[in-house]
Amino acid sequence: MNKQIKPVSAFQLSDQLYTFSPYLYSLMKPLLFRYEFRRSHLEAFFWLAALIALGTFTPTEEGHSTLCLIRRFDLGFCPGCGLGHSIAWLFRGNISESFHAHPMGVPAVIILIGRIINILKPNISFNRNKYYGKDLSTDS
Amino acid sequence: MEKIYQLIPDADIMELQYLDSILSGKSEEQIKQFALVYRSRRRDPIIILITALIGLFFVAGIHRFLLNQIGMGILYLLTGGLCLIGTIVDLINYKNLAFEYNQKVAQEILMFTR
Repeated sequence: MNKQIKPVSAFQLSDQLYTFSPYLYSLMKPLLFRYEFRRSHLEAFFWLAALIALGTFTPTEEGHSTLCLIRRFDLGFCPGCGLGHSIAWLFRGNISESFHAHPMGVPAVIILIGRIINILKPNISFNRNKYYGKDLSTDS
Repeated sequence: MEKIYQLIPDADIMELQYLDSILSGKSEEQIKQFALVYRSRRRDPIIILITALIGLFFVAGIHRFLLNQIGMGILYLLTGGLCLIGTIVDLINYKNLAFEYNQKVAQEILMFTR
């Protein structure tokens, strides 16, 4: 696949920022990255959205609409029940309550973050001259 | 591309394009050798779909173990496929999951056929 790689506009902006103020640029440098969207990344964004949604959700609230399909349709025992509460407690820093809600809460967050990194890793780069294993410093 | 298509008939168009791109510049003998190993090691998307469907009704996470994602497999197994939501995501996404695994396999085999 001889696809032409175009620099992402963030880098063009960063050049202007550098001419404007080198100090501001040095502060911004760790935040700049090159990224190209693929359809296979949708899974990573789904997990990310789920984690953010659970992070903002208040675990003490009662009577919320349940996401669990097993409980909604009364299909019986669900091994995953409490996982949402567990992750929500974890984002509030309450690990003992998190473990009490569901013991897989901590491993779930670690595994999901690892999976997100694994999916996005090939198409993301923090080095402005390298992308997708290719050296871009030679071409203009 | 036609040559690869004849050697690996069960690959779909996205996979064929990928294989074509990584096998450019290889000799016919090397491509034949590659195809022989690749065919026995690749995961068919249909198998992923069927095992994900099993996860909807019996044991979740078999497809993740098949794709060599042990962590995700254990997580799915112990939480019922993240309360079925994860399993449904994978049912939608099964082609990409299989393709991701097959890409890794192809890269691995290329390292040895070089």
